[in-house]
Amino acid sequence: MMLDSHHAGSPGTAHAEAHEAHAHPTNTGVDNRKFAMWTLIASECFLFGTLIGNYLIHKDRGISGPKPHEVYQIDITTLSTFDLLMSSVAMVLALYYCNARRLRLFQFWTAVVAVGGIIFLGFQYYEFSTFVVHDNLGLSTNIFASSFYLLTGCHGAHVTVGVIWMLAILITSLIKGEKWFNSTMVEVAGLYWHFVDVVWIIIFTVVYLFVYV
Amino acid sequence: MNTQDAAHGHGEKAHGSVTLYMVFAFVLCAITFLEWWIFKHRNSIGITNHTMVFTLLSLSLVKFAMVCGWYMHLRYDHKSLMKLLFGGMLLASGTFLALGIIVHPKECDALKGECFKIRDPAPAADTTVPAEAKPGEAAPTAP
Amino acid sequence: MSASTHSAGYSKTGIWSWITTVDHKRIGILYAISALLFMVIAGIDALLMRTQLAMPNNDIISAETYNGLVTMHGTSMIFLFIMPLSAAFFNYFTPLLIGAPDVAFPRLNALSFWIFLFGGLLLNSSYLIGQVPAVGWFAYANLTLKQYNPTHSVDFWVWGIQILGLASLIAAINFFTTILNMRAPGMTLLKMPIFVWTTLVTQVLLILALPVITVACVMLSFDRAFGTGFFDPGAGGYVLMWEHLFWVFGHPEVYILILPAMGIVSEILATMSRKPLFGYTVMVYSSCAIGFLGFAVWAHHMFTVGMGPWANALFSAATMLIAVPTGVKIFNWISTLWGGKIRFTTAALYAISFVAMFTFGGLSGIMHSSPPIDTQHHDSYFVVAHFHYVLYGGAVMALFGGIYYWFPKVTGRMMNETLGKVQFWLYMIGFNVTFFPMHFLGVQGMPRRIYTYAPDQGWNLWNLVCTGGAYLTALGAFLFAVNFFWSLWKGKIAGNDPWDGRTLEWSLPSPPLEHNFDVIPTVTHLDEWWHRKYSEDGKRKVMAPSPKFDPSTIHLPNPSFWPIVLAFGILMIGTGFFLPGFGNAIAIGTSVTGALVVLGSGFAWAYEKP
Repeated sequence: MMLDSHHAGSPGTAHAEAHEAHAHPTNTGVDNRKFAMWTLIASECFLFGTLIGNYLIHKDRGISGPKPHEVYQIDITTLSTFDLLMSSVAMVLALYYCNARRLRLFQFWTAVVAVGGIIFLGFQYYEFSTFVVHDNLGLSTNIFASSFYLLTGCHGAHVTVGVIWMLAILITSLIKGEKWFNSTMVEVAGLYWHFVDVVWIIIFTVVYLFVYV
Repeated sequence: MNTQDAAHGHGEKAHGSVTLYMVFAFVLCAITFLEWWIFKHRNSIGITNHTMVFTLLSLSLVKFAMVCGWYMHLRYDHKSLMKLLFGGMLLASGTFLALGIIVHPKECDALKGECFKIRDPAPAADTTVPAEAKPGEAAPTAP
Repeated sequence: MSASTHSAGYSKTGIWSWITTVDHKRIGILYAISALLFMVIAGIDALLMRTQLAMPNNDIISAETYNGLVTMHGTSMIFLFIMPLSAAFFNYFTPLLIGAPDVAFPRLNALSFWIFLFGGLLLNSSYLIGQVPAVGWFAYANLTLKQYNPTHSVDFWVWGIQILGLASLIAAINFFTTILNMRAPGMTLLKMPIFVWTTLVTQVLLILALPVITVACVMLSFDRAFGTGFFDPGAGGYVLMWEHLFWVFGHPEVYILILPAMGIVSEILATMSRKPLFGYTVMVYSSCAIGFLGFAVWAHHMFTVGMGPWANALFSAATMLIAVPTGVKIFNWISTLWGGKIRFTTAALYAISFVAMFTFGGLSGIMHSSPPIDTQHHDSYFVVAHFHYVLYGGAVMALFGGIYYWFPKVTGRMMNETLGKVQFWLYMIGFNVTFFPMHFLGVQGMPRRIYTYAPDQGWNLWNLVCTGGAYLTALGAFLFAVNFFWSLWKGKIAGNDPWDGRTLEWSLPSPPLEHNFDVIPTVTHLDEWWHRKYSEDGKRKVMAPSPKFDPSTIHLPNPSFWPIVLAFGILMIGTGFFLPGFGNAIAIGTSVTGALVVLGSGFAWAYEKP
């Protein structure tokens, strides 16, 4: 949403639409915004790499308070993983129908993505609040909790940004209707969304399923 | 289902169809279910922790590859994007694997390949197995 | 200055035009000015420290103040001087060198600058309330924890670095995309000027290394604000984790500082010796090798913490390995000069001195790569001498060379060569008088970061000499300012191509028009501009007349004030963390308001016509 390609214009404007069809050819043939998103993803690899590494180093070092296997609810986390995966499926469909110029289906699947993200955040809220209220595991209870909340909280923040982005796309599409099939912007948003999903795939395995490892 | 050419207005090859996406969605769900099932039945099926780590990591990498390769259509895109993702991932993995080895010198002997020290191999209920904290390691040896 | 031809319906001059500018050249100038001003502050820090250390048992400044000066000098010189001055060159010259009309994302470019400026001001505002961070530029835990630093001093450092890091990350993504996606037709990767290559590798390092310090800073600010125990051994935290994370970022950071300088020097040496850069392809590969290996050597900053023999040995070997591509570069620079028709302009002097001083610093660096020797040098003035040779004798000298080299292109006027040479020699002599004796002091056992010392240590003479050198350098900096302003008003008119240059920026008017190229050039050679001027046997060619162009086809991005608003929102988010002293409601309110400003201006930005 904050990307403004020199050649291809910005999202949400008729201007962008007009430019998109005959954008200046780039050296790689990839749109600048899309290229920048992949660059950001490379950067995020290190961000989440640091967070996951930090979690793995710290998870068994808690001195007092609950330990990972005492609090994790694998069944519920599996459900939220499923939810996020399905929102990724909705995302590819949204992009597909945007490319196919099918307005209602595009809007429907974009809404599904946003709802999927919100449900995931709901799961996370439930998880965090259970940890805090039921298990007495606050942010600073022990080092395991701190590194866990830091990692999953950072992922949750990414999901939040993604939800806001999806809602922005949805609202823009509802306002502008057939005039706005900004495929590149939807694709870039989709790349972000899929990456956040991919990170969760790793987190689900390395953080939750490896709880005894 | 609409399976017309989706790559509209792009210079790219046509990629993906709703059918393919749905098949992938099903496979992704199945793998997630399988992961959950292995976790739940790790004791009854007598899987060792080493095998479990290997299996679960492999499964999650399959999911990773499916989402990146098809949903993010990396397979069909410019090669430089693939290099970006794998460059970032490999460098980050290498860096933090090395970091993990350095800061866990006692648990982990890199040269003997025992980086993932497994606790809880006992076939017992989840809650009976403590994951000990190791406060002794908090103080690094000073030269 | 600029004789812009196309009005897009907004003013071209005045403060508002600079605040809303999205022109990469103006943003480059803003970066350069800010960086030079921050250098003055950081330089004064250094002078105060040297004054204090001139005599044993001196008490001009207190120990606490001294610690603050050490911290702010290091932090400012790295994050507020060398990095942004390099960024100034990236901004101004990358699009010109690759034949692009602008960077890929002009407004993001403006955003980077404003975030950088606000971050720098936030860091420096610590002087105003007298809570200067006093923890070293690396801010090792657990000195940074609340119990040892209860005031907000460390918060200034953490949030300053956090915000500066964000600015660099956005800029890095922007330039990475620009270089790989917006080159002129025909400019393949191996036809890019070498400065563009080192810029590219620098952006990769920034993109990959910055998230690590971001996470480390978040952890530290959580420790301080929310009572987590990441770096508190009492809570199971791991103190060395900070050192590891810091240096996982910090060592690539070293190459982030030096690689742009290497690129600038390569350009200057090739132009001034009127020869192609020797071994261009090898230079490219060695830059990439340096960038890659830069990730594999972080722990050589930590040989004395007891990582064990294997870690020490492997990191030592990796560190020695880096000397290979670096050495290749040094030989290539010498070979570039060899047999050339060298013009000893000020820029050339700076570039040549870079090669010498950097080699010197590199040699003491190789000494540190051996853990047993490093154990002896660690935390002594020998290390101070080493990194000043690579960063000051290296990076800063090259950046000053870059200013002399490209000043005519940016302003249309030459810098005064006589003053320039006097300034160069003042810098060169002052620098060596300051830092060479530090090798002796280090070997004699003088530790780093001490605010005073006893008179019977045998350190008195060399400390006095060092201080004298520092003042000589300050005189040089003053002369530079004189030369800068004098040349701005009175300098000789430069013309398009004063150095008989090799790369595309010299084909443009000085200063370049706002849209850069009338017609995007088609590139056929490395050193394209040289090949347009000269045939293979060195004869001057008759230049083809520049193609006609239609001014109405040029699309300039509109100016925007959302970048500065968004940057201010980010500053507010950070500032909220300073305010618990005024009550949590005010603190959280400020951060939340900042977040709303970011969100609101983000939307306004997205729906604005670019």
